Amino acid sequence: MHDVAAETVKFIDLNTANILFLVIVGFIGGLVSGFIGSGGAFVLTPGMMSLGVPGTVAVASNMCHKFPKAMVGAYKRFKYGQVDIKLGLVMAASAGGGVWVGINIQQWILNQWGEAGSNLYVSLSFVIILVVVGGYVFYDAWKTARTGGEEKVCALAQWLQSINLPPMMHFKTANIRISMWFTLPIGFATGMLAATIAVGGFIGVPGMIYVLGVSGLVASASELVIAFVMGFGGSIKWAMSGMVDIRLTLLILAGSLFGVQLGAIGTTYVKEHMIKVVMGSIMLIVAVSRALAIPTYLKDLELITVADSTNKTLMTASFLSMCFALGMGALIILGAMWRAKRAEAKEAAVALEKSYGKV
Amino acid sequence: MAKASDSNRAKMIGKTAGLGLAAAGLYAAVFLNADTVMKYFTKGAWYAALPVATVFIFSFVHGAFASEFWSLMGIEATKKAQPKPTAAKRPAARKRPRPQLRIDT
Repeated sequence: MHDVAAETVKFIDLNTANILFLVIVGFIGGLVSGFIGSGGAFVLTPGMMSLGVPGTVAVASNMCHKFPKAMVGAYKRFKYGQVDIKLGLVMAASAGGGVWVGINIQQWILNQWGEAGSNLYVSLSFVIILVVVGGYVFYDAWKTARTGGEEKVCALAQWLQSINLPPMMHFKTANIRISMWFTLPIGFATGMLAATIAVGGFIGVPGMIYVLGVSGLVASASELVIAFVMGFGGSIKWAMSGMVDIRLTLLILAGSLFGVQLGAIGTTYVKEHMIKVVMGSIMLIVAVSRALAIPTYLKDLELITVADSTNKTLMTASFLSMCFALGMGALIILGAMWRAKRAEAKEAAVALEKSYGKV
Repeated sequence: MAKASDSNRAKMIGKTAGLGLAAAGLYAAVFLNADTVMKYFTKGAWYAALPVATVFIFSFVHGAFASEFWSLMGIEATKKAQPKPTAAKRPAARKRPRPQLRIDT
């Protein structure tokens, strides 16, 4: 029965355009991932589907690239002292539960309302969560930038850290001491969101920052550990169903392994609140992108009527704005790195001149 | 001193080129045998080990190549790569009753 299922799955033929697309989008996705701890998946999966890859193969192949990319990114950022492995693993444990519940909810919705209903659920989740969380992250980054770039632990996190509810856990790199019970909902929500929209980090990273009181730098770095664990588990599951198109995975990896390391290097150049700026911006634009796709799903469920041409325009606009989100994130990261590197070179030149003066 | 940095740079170029060739070799091996690879890699069940092991191998080789490449381009982390610790308030002091010696009279 399994072989029949595998036979009916279509694996696309690759041409130069497909190959270049995957490598380039892989690079940009990796760059963003290395910097903010998540991202890329929300463009790669629909991107592959726009090449004709069936949905399940796209999700499976993407996931199979996600965990090695996260591993390389986490290793790089670990060398910079940014990864709290214990925090990542504790969150990954509860994320597993979230993934399981998320998948079951998806299955139930699929059974009740079919694919259109499932797509609508996914898109609504995108829009609500990304607007609320992304908006707050962006606002916080703007506030931090205005007050001189010094990140402060928010009041909620300070309060939660002061509550003594055993078992208390100490996370050395994150420099926080908090009850394990408060890590559970964040990890759980991360897993659930990952199962729903494929990007758990959009809850995981802000959750670690605003609920647990971890810095943006450590949160985004530790998120890569969670991504690795979840991606690894999910990939095994998909690979056992024969859904991974290794060619697509390897092409994406060709670009993303360059991108993720560049993004990791970038975090050492920029002010910490830049991570929030990039994350908030991407989340808000992706929310718009998903909102543009909602009328199509409402039409598929026969809740509203939409002309075919309008439909096509909306879906194209949705896809393009998603690519724009990722591209813009990449430009912000590269721009910030460029400015920081120039400033560093200038400082070094000034110091050198001064040392000549002393001789 | 110039010679030392020249030879260092030559070593770096050699290492990067070597890793690049190894990565290219791996990619060639997969894509020139794409049909066979796809036949076995999508069989499912225990064959799942094939794609998973493959991405690990590619990550190590190609990841190392990418790392050396960026270093060769002069793109490396800044010296001040250590994060500042988050200034969180200390948790409320827990009042634990200290053991006291009581002498019953």
